[in-house]
Amino acid sequence: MSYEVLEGMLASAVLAGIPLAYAALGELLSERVGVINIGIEGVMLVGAAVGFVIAVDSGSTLIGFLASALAGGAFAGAFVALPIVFGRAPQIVIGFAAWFIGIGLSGEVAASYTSRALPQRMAEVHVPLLRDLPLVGKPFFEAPWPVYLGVVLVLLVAFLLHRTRHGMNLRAIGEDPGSAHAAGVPVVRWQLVYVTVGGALMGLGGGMLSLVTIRHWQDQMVAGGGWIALALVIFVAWRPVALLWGAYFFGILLVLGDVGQSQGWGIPSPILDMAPYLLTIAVLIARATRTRRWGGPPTAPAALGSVFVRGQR
Amino acid sequence: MVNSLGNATSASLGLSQIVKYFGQFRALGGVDFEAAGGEVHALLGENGAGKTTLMNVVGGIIPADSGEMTIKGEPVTFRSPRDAFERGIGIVHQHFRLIEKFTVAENLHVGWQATPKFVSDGRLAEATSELAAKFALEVDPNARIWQLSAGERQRVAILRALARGAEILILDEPTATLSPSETADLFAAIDRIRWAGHTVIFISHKLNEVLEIADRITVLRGGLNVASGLLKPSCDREMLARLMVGGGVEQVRLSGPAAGERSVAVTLAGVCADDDFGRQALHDVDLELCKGEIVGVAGVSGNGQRELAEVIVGLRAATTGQVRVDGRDLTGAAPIEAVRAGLGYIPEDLGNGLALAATVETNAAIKASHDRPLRRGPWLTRGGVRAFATELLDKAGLADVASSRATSTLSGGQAQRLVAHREMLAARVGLVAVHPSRGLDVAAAAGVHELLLKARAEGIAVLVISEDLDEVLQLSDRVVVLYEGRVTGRFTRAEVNRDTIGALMGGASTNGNPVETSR
Amino acid sequence: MSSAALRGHLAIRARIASVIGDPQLWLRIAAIVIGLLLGLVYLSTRLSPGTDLFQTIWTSTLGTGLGIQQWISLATPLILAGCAVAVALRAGLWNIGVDGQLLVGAWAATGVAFALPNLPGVLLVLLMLLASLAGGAAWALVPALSRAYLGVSEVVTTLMLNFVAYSWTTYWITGPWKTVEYANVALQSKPIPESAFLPSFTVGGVAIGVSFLIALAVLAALWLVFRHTHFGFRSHVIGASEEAGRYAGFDTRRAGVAALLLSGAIAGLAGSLVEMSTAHSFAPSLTDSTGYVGIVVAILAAGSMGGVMVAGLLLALLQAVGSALRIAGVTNGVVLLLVGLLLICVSLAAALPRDGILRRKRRPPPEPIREASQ
Repeated sequence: MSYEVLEGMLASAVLAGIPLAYAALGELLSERVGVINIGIEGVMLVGAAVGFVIAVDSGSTLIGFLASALAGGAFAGAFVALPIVFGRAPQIVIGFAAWFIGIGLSGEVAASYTSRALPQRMAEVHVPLLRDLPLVGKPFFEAPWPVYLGVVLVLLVAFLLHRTRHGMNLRAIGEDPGSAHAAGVPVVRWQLVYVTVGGALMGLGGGMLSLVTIRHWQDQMVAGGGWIALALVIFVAWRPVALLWGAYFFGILLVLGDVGQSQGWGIPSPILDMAPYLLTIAVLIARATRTRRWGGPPTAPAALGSVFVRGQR
Repeated sequence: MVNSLGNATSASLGLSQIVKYFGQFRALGGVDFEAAGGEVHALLGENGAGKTTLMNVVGGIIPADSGEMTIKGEPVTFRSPRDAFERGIGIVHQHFRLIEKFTVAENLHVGWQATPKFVSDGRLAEATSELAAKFALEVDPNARIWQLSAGERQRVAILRALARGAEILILDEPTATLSPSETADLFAAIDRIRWAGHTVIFISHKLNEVLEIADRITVLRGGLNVASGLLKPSCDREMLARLMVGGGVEQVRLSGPAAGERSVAVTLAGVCADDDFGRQALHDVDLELCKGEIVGVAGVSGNGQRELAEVIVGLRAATTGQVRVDGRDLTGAAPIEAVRAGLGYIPEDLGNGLALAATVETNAAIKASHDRPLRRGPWLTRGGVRAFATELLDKAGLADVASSRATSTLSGGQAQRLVAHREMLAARVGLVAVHPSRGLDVAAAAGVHELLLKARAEGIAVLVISEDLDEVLQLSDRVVVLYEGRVTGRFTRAEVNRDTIGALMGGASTNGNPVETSR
Repeated sequence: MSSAALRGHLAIRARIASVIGDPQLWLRIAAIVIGLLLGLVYLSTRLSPGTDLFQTIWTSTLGTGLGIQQWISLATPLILAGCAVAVALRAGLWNIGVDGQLLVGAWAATGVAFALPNLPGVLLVLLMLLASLAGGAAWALVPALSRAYLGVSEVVTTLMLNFVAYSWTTYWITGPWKTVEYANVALQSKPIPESAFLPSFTVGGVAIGVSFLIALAVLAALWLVFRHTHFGFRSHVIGASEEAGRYAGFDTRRAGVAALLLSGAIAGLAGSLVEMSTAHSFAPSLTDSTGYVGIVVAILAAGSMGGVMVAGLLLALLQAVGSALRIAGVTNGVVLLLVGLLLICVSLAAALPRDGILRRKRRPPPEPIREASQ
């Protein structure tokens, strides 16, 4: 494999991985407050569609990108947070509903935009000195600005969750909402807020796909990215900083199939495409085996997926 | 003793006419309560009397339907636990409400306004050590809760309440999971807290403890006051028992020699077993149960009781040793073998013995469903199931319960009767009952006790595991003491000595020295 | 009243109450109706001018022989997928992987067809059906075992395996079973031999596939299993409470594994039936999100087999209407949008009663069986 191919692969891995990082970060926040939102794919689609439509109509990709966050947040707030937190509906079912609605809604919103082009490209940020590094310089340090924003957001969330009082309270909700409530944490409020904020991040992930990575709209264009993001959160064991590396890694896996095909490797690309999912399953099984053998509590937030009812356990 | 008692103007907490309904179930029907600074005020009552509900109202965890609450004379309404502890109320829940995966330091600081906005493990640990020193409650800031014993968890919970400036400390059944020595430590701590001028509300149904620690006593029954603010000198055991229970229920006692031939029904030889976290919970337990006798296992909860019961009925594998039932080796056998061998099991948590989401009929039939007439090969005979359920409900005095009802709609007493009678039918050889009367009112408890005695009379080997020493002594032909997973004492009915057993439960060895522990 | 008479009286009343007086049932139906009405209102605003919504709905479904035919052919995999999900759900497990199991089932059947193309038709068909059962079950094996023995969430593992199955499918139709590519994109494998086609028969001008009858037979068999076998009873108890099942002496691990494998097998069967009756080649399009819609079917049905039938037909109707309306200018995803709304309405309706909005009218809740403080 030539230097250029490798460099190109790393560059596409960044563009494929960062949307995953956004979406997975949103899911991570949501799961940390105990709500598993498996409708990521739908939320991302809504973000991608609305972002694209607004960008085309307003003539600004920046405004489009911001709109994708608002759309993702509003969508997850209305169709995931409210039914789960207030309606106490089963989380898995609501996640599927959100996925379905997201597919339908995004298709409706952007139906007439399929062949439209974006008015402008996202500005690239060139980091002096670092961009001159061999191999990694171009892919990592001459990237469109949402790439850097993604990294910053991941670090911010990591700081929030593990270095602030507020973040500690949030983690407490995901572990044991009853105890968190009794200790004075407003459980319902933060669940609503962070499922919604998580939705906004997923929306950004979708927006980045339609505005930066792929740069046009087509039906169901997220193409499973939401599900990979769900896998990614498990893969990195709910740790935001690890999410960064995980997202790059999954990004590389995603582009590996195409690279392999163009380079004429022996391995068919569909087989490579399975890797993220198989790896996630393997990691889950390995972790469970370790817990079984060595004891201790499981890795996932303990209250993930459970219904919190005030005054009950 | 401190005495600012009876001085109403100094009441730090006042409750008047607190009413709380859960649906149409009246948990509190207009309760009055007041407590002063520098006193320990006991709230005495049976399980289900409304003590916990009352304190959940005080703590802002659930809202009251009506009634008034004052703190230092000022009327207050709490919309959340935070409101409550901002007004100086700290609750130590029976199950502590700590977050298992968090460290002690994190648990202390979670949800607390005084926690600095930015935190780090080191900073929280430091603050925790300072608080621990200030309130003289020793804790390890970096330990995770799931690694701690019940006594250690309780210290964390108390420290958390005090650290947040609790002037009114509510302890909900604080001794339930403590050993006698841990209880003594707790009482010493309560004394210090009282001397510091705080109010301690001590919720309990244990008369001895209440008489030991309380300055004043309020008794609840069925969600109503039956006595308010009695001064301790004016109380005695019998009087409090009468107030709490309402009188009229005869306690069931064992009488007469063990029935039937004395053949061995269940044998445990050198049994070791792990708990759910993989820590060793039973050490070399030898135990023999004969037909027609009741063996009581005394001990503080969490000393291997649950594991012992589960090993016998096949729900937990013994890591070493042997379990024999009626001559057959059932070590490592599937749970069904114990059922087939004729063992009944009344579990500690009824939720384990009942599928609450299924119908009463289903739950009635689960044990009998393995064999004819309910099962024929792969088929289940609906008629057989229905007939069996009907018969069981009749026997259990639940004839007016429709068998198509969801089991979750049964009351606690009804559910207990259903399980107890079902297990009686299943118990042809042995019956294991864990905390058989926990959560029941006295009449219902007496019903269960009668059933256990009936099993004995029918020649069934009965094992009663209970943290209530009175219950054990009342029912048992023989008593063994379980401490830290070891049998530390064995007594026949004639040899039973309350004080010796109490000491053993707290970790004294038979010659008076503490038993070596291996935590 | 004597005890027996009282009980008889109670039993009859309970029976009647459970059928017509079950507020849950009526709430569920009301939620479905509300969801559908919302959908109709939305659809009517979206149509290109000159299209009569009701006319389109009528002709694409019940109004014409072709409509009925298409409806039934759409309902077949949905009913089976609904069965598959319901079987797992009864045992308290989520099988999100029906989509993948369906494809792998079809893959296994295709493999048999290509390996033994010269077998007599009936034998080949039987072998293919068996292979698809085995294939679907095999795809559920890892989730089943890891859930039972390690406690790994089956939600995640079954879901993840769907994507592995999609890639697996792509691999086979672009590799070993490649056919002429259309516009450089492989859409399906080479066709299976004609002897493996499932026939249909005609009733009153409407062609009904044998596959539909097989689906009905599966439905009936499952009804029998859940109502009249000990396996069904065990599943039910474990689904209600795994703890209680263990306590009763059931081998809960084996029961859980069995339920997921059975679920996977039914999913696999759905795949081979679609392939053998309509598609006639192996392709990713054998599942049009059937596995996920199957989840909706099972949830609308609340786990009852009769409900699966009704809900399967209802969702097939929606799909049929959806594809008819596509011509009238509605986007592909609208049906999914409606299904999603329906799902939210129904799950809110199911969650509503325990929330207190309806509580005042219900039986007073008893003292909790566990202490309230726990």
